[in-house]
Amino acid sequence: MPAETGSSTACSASPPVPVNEIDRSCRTPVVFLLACSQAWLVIGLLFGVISSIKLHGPGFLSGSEWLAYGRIYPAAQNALAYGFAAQALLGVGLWILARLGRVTLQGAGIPIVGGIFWNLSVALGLLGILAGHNTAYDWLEMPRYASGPLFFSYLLIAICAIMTFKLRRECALYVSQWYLLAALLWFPWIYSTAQLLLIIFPVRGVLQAVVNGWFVQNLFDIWLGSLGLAAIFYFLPKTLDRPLHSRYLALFGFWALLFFGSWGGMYAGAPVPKWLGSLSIVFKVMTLIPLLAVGLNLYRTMAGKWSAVKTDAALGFVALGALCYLLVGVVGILSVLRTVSERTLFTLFTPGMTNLYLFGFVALTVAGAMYYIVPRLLEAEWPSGGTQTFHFWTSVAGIALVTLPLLFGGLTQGAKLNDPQAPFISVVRSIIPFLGLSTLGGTLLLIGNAALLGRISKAMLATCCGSCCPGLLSASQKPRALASGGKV
Amino acid sequence: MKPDPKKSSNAARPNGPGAGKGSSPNVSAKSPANEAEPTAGLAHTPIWLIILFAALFYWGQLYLDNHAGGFDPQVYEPYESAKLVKALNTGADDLAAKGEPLYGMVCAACHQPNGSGGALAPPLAGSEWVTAADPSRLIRIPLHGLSGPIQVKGQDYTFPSGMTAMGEVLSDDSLAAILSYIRQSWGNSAPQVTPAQVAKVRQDTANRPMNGTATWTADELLKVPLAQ
Amino acid sequence: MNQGPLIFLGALLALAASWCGMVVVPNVQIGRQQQVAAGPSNSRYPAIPSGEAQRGRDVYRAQGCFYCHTTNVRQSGAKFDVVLASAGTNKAALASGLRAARPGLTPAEVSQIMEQAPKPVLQGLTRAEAETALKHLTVPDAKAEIILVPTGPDIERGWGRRMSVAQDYLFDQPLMLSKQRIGPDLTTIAARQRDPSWHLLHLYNPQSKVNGSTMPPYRFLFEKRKIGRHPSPDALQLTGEDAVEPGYEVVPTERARALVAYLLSMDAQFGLFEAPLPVEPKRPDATTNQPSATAPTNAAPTNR
Repeated sequence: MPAETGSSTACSASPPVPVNEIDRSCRTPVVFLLACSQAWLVIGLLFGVISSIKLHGPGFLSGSEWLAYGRIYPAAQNALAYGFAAQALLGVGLWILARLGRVTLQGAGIPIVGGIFWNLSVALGLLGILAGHNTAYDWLEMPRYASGPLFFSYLLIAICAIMTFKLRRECALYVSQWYLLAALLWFPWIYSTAQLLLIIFPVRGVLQAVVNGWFVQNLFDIWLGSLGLAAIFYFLPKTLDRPLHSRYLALFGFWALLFFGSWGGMYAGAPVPKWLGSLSIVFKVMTLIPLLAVGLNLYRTMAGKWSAVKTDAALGFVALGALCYLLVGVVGILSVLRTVSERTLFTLFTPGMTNLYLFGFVALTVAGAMYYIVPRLLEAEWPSGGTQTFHFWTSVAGIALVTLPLLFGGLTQGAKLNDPQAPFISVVRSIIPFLGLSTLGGTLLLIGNAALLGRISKAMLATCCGSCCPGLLSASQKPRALASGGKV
Repeated sequence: MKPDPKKSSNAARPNGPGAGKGSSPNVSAKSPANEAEPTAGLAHTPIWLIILFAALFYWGQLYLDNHAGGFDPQVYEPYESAKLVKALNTGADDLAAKGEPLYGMVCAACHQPNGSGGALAPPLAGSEWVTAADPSRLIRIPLHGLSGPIQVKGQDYTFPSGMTAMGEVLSDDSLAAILSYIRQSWGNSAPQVTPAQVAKVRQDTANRPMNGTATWTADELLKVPLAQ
Repeated sequence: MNQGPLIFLGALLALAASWCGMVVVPNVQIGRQQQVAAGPSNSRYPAIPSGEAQRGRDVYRAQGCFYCHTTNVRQSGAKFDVVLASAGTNKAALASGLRAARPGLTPAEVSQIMEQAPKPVLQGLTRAEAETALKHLTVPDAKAEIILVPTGPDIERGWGRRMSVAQDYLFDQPLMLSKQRIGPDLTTIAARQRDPSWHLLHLYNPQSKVNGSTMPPYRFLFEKRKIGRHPSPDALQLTGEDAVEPGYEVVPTERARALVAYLLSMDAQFGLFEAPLPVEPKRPDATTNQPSATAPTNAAPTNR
C-alpha cells in the first residue's frame, strides 16, 4: 500500500519540530476556530433560552414568524452542534494532531479558509432555518444551500488534518490520534449518506427516519464522541503530567466504540419493523463496554491525583467533561431499555440528555482545552482569574439546571402520558415548572460563556494589536497587553 | 480556581512571528521537542471487562431471538412474531377461507376444483377478469350472469350456455367470500373482495334484474369503468 | 510501526457494517412498499395527498410544528373481545353456551345479549381465553367471533386505533415523526376535530379553544384588513378579547388554509396486515350514534 510506505518514511526521517514553532503554525487557524465556536455557543445559548421561554410563555415574541418556536429551536440546536461543538472539537483536534505528530500544522492557510467557509455555511444554514427552509430532519435541518458548502469546508479542514497526521515526525501513535483519525473519516461518510438519502434522492416514508436515526447516532456517539474523547485522552494525562493508565484498555475501548456505537438510532415504538428497534437497543447496551473501558482508564490515570483538579483549571474542566461523558453514556443505555424508554420516549428526557451531552461533555471539555491552548497560542496570559471561576461555576450550575429538571420532568411527563386517565392538558401543565428551571440554567450558561467569549476576544485583540500595530492600542488595553504579550 | 503557574510561564513568551525566534531565552531554555506529550502505559485489560463483554454479547443474542420478530419486515411493536401477525389476520375475517367450500358447491362443477375451466366454462386461474385490481367487473358476472363469447388469457371461448345469475340466491358475504377465494387461489394473488364492494355494485346496478334475463356480455362488461 | 492504515481500514469496516445493517437492509426490506387495499371500501391506502394538503405539509414543516407534535401512535399490546354477531334461531343451545362462556350471567342478561346482537359477550381477554370462550359459542346458526382490540395509552387517549406502521407514511416527504410531545399526537387529528373553523381559530389563538394550552399563536398566518364592499365569508368569528375593531376583519392567508387542509387530511387509520384491526362495521363501539354505544362497557366485565 503506497500510503503506508509514504507515511512510514515521513514519520521517521526528520527531527521533531520545536513546540513553539508548532504552536505558531496553529495560532491563526486554531484560535480562529475556537473563538468562532465560542461565539456560536453564545448565539446557540441565546436562541436556546428564547426557545425555552417560548415553551412556558407561549406569547413571548410570538408576533415574529422568524422567531417562532419551531424555527428558533432548531436554529439553536444547529448553532450548538455545527457552529460550536463540531468546530471547537475540530480546532482542538488540529492542535492535538500537530502536537502529537511533533510537526507544524500543514497547509496552514487551508484550515483558515475551511474555517471561514464553515462559519459562513453555518450562518447561512441558521438563516435558512429561521426563514422556514428547515429540511425537517433531526440535526440536519440546514437547507441544501448551506449543507453543501458546510460539507466542502469540512473537507478542507479534514485534508489539512490528514496531511498533518501523515507528515508527522513522531511515528508511535497515541490514543487521541486513533480517535481523531476515525472521526475524520466518519463525518464525510455519514453526512454525505444522510444528505443523499434524505435530501437529494430521498428514500420513501419511514426509511427517512431510519437513515436520520443512524446519522444522529453516528454524529453524537461516534463523531462528536471520538473528537471529544481525543481531547480528554490528551489533556487529562497532559495536565496531570503522567502517562495514561493503559494502552490496551484504550485500544479495547476504541474498537468496541467503533463497532457498537455506530449501530442504532431507532427506538422501540417507532413505526419501523420491530427488529430495528431491538437491534438498536442491543448495540446501545453493548456500548457499556467502551464506556467502562474509557471510564476505568481515566479513573486509573487520575488515581491519587484528584486534588490536581482544584489547582489546574484545564484539568478541572476536562475531568468534569469526562464525567459528563460517562454519565450521559450510562443514562443513555438505561433509557433505551424498553421498560424505561416507553416512559421517556417523546418527553423532555431526550432534550435533557442532549443538553448533558452538549453542555456537559462537549462544552466542558472544549473549555478545558481552550484554557490550555489559547494562552499558549496567543502567547498571552489570560486577562483575569475571576472570569475563569465565574465561568466554571456558572457552567456547573447551568448544566445541572438544563439537565436534571428536564430528565426528571421527562419522567413525570412520561408517567402522565402513559396514564390515559390524565387529561392531556394536565400533562402539558405539569412540565412547565421543569421548563422554567431549564430556562434559568440556560441563562446561567449564556452569561458564563458570554464572559468567556469576552475574555477570549480581549486576549486575541491584545495579541493581535500588540504584534502588528501597538500604536493603535487604546489606553485601557495598553498596560495589560504589554504585561502579557510584551517582551520579557 | 487559579491559573496554573506553569501555564503562565509558558505563555510569557515573545509574540509575533518575527519576535526573536530561537534566540529568546524561553525557547532556548527548552530544548526543541522536550515538552513531553502524553504516552500510554501497558497495563492489561482487566479480565472482568472481557467476561462482561462476552456476557453482554450473549445477552444480545438472546434478546434478538426474543424481541426481533425474526427480522421480519411485517412484525411491528408490540407483536412478537410473523406467525402471530398472520394468526391475527386470519382469525375473524379470512374471506378466501370461507369462500373455498362455497366455491366447491356453487362453481366447481363448471370451472373445475382447480379453476382450470373446461368445456362448460373458461379458466379462472390466471384469468385477467378475476385478478383485475378493481373487482367491479368481476362482481357483476355472478350477480347477473354472463353470456356470449369471451376472451380470457388471449384465447377466445364460446360456450353452449352462459353463466347463471346468482345475485338473488347468494348474499354479499357469500359472493365476497367466493370471489376472494378465486382471486387468491391457484397462483392468483389479487386483494380480497369485501362484502361492501359487492353491495356497492348491487346498488350501482339496481336497475338490472338478477333473474337471468339481463345477463352481461363481455363487450358490455368491458365498458364498465375501472378505478385507475 | 505505523498503525495509521490499520486504524483507517478498521474504522472503514466498522462504519460500512453499520451502514449496511442500518441503512441498506431496511431499504431492501421496506423500500419498495406500494399502496395497498385497505379500509371498508378497499380503497388504495395511503391515499395520495391533495395539492392543498401538500402545501399545508410544507407550512407544517416550515413552522416546525413537529418540534412539539408527534405523528407516531404507539401500541403496547392487544386484547380480544368475543362478540355475538347474530343469535340465530337455536336459542336454547346458545343460552347454555353463553352461560358456559361467561359463568354468572343471569337469564335476563343472557336474553338481553341474544336480543341485542351484535353484542360483546366478553371483553379484554387474551387470545387463548377468547378462543376457549368462542368454542362455547359455536352453536349452529348463531355467529360469534373474536375481535382484536389494540391497547396502549395512545390508543386509549383516542390518538389512533392501532400503532403506526411504515405503510402509513408512504407519501410523507419529508417525514416528520418527531420526538417530542409538548402537544398532542396529530396522527388522527382530522378524526378528532373535523371543523376547519375550529382549527383556524385555534391557530389564531390556541388558548381560546384549549384552556391552559402552551401553544403559541400563529397570527402571522392571518391577515387583518379593512372590510371591503362585502365582508369576507372566510373571516374568523372572533369574540371576546380577540375581537377586532369595527370595520376590520381577520382572514386566514393561503398558508393557514393549506395548513388546516393538511391537518384535516390526517385521519386514515385502517387495519393493515401488519397492524390488524377488526373490520369497521363489526366494531360495536365504533359508531357513536348507536343507542347501545355505551352499553358494552357497562354490561360486560373487563375480566382483567
